[in-house]
Amino acid sequence: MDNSTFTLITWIILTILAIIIAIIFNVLKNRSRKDTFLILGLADSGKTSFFIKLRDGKQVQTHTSMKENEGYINLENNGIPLTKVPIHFVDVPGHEKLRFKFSDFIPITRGIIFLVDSSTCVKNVRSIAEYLYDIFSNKDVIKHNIPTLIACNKSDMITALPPERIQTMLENEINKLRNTRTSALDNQDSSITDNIEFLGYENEKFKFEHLENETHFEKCSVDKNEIAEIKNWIAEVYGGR
Amino acid sequence: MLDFFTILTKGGIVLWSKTFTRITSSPVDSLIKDVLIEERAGENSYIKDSYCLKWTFANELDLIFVAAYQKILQLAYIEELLATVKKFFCDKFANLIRDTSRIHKFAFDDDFDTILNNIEEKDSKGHGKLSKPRPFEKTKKFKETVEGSKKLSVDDISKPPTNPIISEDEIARNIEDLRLRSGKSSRGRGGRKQSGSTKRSNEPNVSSDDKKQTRKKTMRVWDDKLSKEVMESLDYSGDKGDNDNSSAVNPQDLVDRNQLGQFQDGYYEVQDLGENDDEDEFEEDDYDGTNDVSTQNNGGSSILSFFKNITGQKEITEQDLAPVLAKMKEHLIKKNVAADIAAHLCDSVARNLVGQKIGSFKSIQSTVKQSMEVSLKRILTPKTSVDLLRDIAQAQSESRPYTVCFIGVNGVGKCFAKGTKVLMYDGTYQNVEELNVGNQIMGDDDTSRTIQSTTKGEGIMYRIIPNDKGPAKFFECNNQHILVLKFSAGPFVRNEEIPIVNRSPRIRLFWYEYDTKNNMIVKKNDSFYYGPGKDYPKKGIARRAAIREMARKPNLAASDFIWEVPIKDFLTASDEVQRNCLMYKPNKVIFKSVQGRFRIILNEILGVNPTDSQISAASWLVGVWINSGIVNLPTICVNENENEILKVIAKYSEMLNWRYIKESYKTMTDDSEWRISFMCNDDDIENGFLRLLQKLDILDTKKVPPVIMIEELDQVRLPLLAGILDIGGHLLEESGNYKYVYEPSQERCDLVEQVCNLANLSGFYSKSDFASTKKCQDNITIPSSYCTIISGNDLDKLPLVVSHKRVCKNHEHNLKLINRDMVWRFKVVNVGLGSYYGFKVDKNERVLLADLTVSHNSTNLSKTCFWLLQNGLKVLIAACDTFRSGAVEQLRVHVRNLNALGQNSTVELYERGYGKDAAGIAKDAISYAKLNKFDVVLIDTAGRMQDNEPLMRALAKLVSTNNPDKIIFVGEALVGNEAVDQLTKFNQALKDFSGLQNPRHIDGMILTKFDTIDDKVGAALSMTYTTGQPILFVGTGQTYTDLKNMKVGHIIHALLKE
Ligand SMILES: Nc1nc2c(ncn2[C@@H]2O[C@H](COP(=O)(O)OP(=O)(O)OP(=O)(O)O)[C@@H](O)[C@H]2O)c(=O)[nH]1
Ligand SMILES: [Mg+2]
Repeated sequence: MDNSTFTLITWIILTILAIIIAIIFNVLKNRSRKDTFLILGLADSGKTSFFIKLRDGKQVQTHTSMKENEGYINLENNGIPLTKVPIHFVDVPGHEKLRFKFSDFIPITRGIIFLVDSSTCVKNVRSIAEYLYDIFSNKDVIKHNIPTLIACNKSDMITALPPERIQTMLENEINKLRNTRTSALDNQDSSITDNIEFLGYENEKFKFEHLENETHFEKCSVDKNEIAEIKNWIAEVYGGR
Repeated sequence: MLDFFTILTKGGIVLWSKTFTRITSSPVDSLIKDVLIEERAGENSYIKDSYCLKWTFANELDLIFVAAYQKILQLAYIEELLATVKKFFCDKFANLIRDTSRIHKFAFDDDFDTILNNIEEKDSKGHGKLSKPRPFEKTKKFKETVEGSKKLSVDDISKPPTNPIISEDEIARNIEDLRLRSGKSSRGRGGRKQSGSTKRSNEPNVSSDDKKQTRKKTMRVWDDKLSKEVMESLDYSGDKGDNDNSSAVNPQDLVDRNQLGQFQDGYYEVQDLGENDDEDEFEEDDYDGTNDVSTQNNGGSSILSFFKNITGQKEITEQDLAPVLAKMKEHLIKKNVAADIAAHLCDSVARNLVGQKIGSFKSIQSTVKQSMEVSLKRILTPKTSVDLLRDIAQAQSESRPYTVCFIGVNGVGKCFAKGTKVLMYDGTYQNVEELNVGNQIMGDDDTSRTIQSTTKGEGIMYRIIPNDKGPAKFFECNNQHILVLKFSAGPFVRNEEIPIVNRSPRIRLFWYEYDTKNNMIVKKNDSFYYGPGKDYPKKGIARRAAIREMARKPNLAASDFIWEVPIKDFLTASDEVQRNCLMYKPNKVIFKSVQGRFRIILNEILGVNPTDSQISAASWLVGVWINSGIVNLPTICVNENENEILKVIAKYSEMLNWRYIKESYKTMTDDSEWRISFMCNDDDIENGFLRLLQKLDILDTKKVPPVIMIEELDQVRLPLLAGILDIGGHLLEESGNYKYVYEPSQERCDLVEQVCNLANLSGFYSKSDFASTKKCQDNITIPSSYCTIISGNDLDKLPLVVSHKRVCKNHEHNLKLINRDMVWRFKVVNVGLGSYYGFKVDKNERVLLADLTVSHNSTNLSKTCFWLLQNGLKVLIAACDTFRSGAVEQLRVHVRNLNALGQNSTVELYERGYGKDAAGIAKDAISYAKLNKFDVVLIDTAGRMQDNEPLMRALAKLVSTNNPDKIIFVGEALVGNEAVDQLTKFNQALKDFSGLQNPRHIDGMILTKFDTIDDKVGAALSMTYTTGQPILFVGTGQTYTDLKNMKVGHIIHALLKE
């Protein structure tokens, strides 16, 4: 009788301990590592296609995403693995009303791949710049100097612009934006003073190279499977921790 | 028929799709962008180009099923198809779908074809089946849920609903058919039995629409979770609660989950359920019980299932959500979210949650709250850039001015008839037609309201006539005027013992319910039958049940419920409700912020800080002097018989250390009177009383000093009134009610009015009148003359010194005095066409004697202008409000101010006076701006009511001729349900009246008076939801800098805060 009660208590204690350990382990696992790569970009820039291409090497039909796609992916190039362990990728929807989610992932982010649709870049330059502005002025991005690759996708299209052109267009646009953003009205709740970060150097035209965090421009095409550079960049950033 | 069918993940990956025709554009992307992401998933279908899309979610697997067909077709089976495919697909591929680490191939083509053929065939075979009358409870449920707020007429119930809820049976049948055809599944004993009974059980449905038989419907029990899912996703019934005793039973509750574990691979079992007329409660219990058992069966070990239970992984069902969402909806409405929108939002959240698994240790509440938070964030996050300065820079680079058009509603509606008195900030009254821009009016919170603009117009006027218990005469206003009423009836129960044929005796409960959506009070009733075999065995028990129920009614309008209702709505209420509404007088006005001047004056005179009793004494003396003093002299005349008054004068002047000379004086009527002159022969002692009268500025007028009107109640106003009444008033008693009649010694109508106002402000009713001859307490008959009559609850609070004029609380009429509330009945009379005068004020609109709702176009335009100027832009303001008098002047003032504020900023006013075509002026202004290199043109338009078609047409014309870069709607943060109506009608007008191929719509909103609403920020949500456009700025005060960016996080926090 006594013995069985005792065993029961032991079991209960052991179970509780196991649960606690599991929880702690989970927390640690989630918190302490910063090895996620975010796939960001406007809607229709090819994020989900890129994600699937990376994971399955396949082409699939996609629609506007409402939810993030995430998963661990073994990076490989022509069958040669680029990293020893699978890497965690998150594809964040590009819709204006959903993209705020990216900031939830920033604390665990190792690098950002920002996809740009090279063929519609002229039309969307403002939206792209605004999104980039939000990313670069994010507190954690600044704090951790998260490296960013701006991948100019859909280079297979005839209307696609070269990355150099896209870079200057974006620099001009961000240059304008930082003026208007910093002179916008105060936020209604003045108790939280989140000043809008001024990107780059004052009194100087904005250049991506002025940013604290590394930014790269790269050409790619998910359709034509020309994403080797991106993979290499990821492997480099991941390996060089 | 069907154009395509797609199954995709919420991540946007298409798992399987089939197209039947060439698809040009991608309507699915639009569906996701316009409907699903915008949290409009509560809607039913979506029309894009020539397609009509319908969809369903499988939340537990994060899937979306979309079907599209030509919108001209009426395909009644789409829901059925979606539901069937969903169930089948999820069932068959569950494992593949759950494995999200890879892309899988879904071999679904053949199955889909079979399902589709099957359903199409069924559809074409007999409209018999589809158009048969639905089981009563289904249609009913449908009416309550899917259609939500839309009202279905009774007729609709017998017709096939356009959007039916598909019964589990049908899906079951569909899938069974599929299996039969494909022959894939081996059939078991249960299956065989089933096919026979399917036919049997269908017969009553087809052959007869008799309700009883329908209710005897048989249910099929499905392989565990999947059947559950299907049922849950299909049954969107909000609450099953139906007051009706004959209420049908929710089929879901009848599913015997005990059986669930026993059947695999989609075999099913039919159970005849027979009579379903048992009590609801019983079935619920039963359901719960069996659910537990099945958990145990599945888990195998009870410990395991225990952990399973606490560590979650419970699927959310519709039932779990219903109460939580109902509460959430109520909460949102409390936060001033329009009722429709709150309902839509909750539906949408429900659709996103049903079937989802709850994580460990999480309650449904927190899950719902979290999901709601995400939804709100999505709605409020703007989908286009709100960077106005960047837009302007763009226009600059194209060397053209950037034009912004400010539109909005106005408050012309809430105005008063000529002659209506308004309380000014200094305590005086003014007629509404005499008010001017810049005047200060007293607000309900003791602070001032500055008049921003005035307006007048013509309309049907109503006269509100109080019965004789009420105050003043009557007032007139138009049909938009908001009455603040006290509802005076509560719930009650009634015996109906006499048995009518076929009915047993009952207790009936009547109550009044406040319909938050329509701002209306409606009477409702409920019956509690008793007797053998009835719900309640005995009368007493039924009665108690009724009384218990009484307290539980939501939105109960009991006595003391305050109802703010526009006259036009009030007139649509039932007679009984109207009769139970009373007008009431708000409590005495305290004027916290301005009082204390009397104290200061007295301080100066006495040289020391006066005590409260000194202040009262001085006030009383002033009161006595006002009634019977001598103009320009600090002298009071008192009849020699007024011993009490003489004694108190002596006492008070000693208290104040004021000396006086007392002389006897013979009047013409042969009465002797005392003349008390506050004068002293020593020149070195200053005459305090004289100085007081001088300071109050009444020495030569003998009026009730305006300063006094808004002074401290107990120390100043009441003693002063008491002084006046002591010497000039009479106490009347009429059938147990007391009132004072005040009639000044000389014929001084102004004094009558002033005393009347003072009494009204001090918590009494008072009206001035020509008094007929009346009997007084002291048997003196007073002649008919102009006088004021003061009555009220607190007459005993007046510190009169003459004992027989005092009202004592411990008098025999004590009770009556206390019970009399400050309420009165009234009549509303239509007095035909008349002119009204209105005004707009800053801060909240609750000015005393009035309750207006207006917008602040021009003010916000100026604030925006100020901000633009600060950014070095050159601004032109186009005065296109050519309608409301004063609008142009108002802008001119603003422009002058703005120019004075900025060092080198330029803002100009472009105006062409009144009465001209606004569209033309705007056009001229824009070309003027182009010529003179202005960066921005701000177009001020007249506020207009959304129902005023001619004005709306004019607005549409202004927009279509000038094509402004931004159309900004200026709305009030205070509006509730009205917001939706305003915005939809404005957008509709811009669309309908423009004559353009691509009509414009509102591009953004400015919400004003954000500082006055606390956390009731619902209007922000209502407005963004209705238009899909962002709130650009919020106005938080009255200065030019009180324009802020709205913070989404702040709004969400305020909305969800308890
Ligand atoms: N020509 C071409 N088309 C591409 C390329 N990459 C993607 N696309 C197409 O672009 C479209 C959009 O791709 P998605 O991956 O769904 O876009 P997304 O970034 O996930 O968009 P959201 O989920 O809405 O944020 C798809 O039709 C792709 O086929 C490319 O390299 N070249
Ligand atoms: Mg995507």
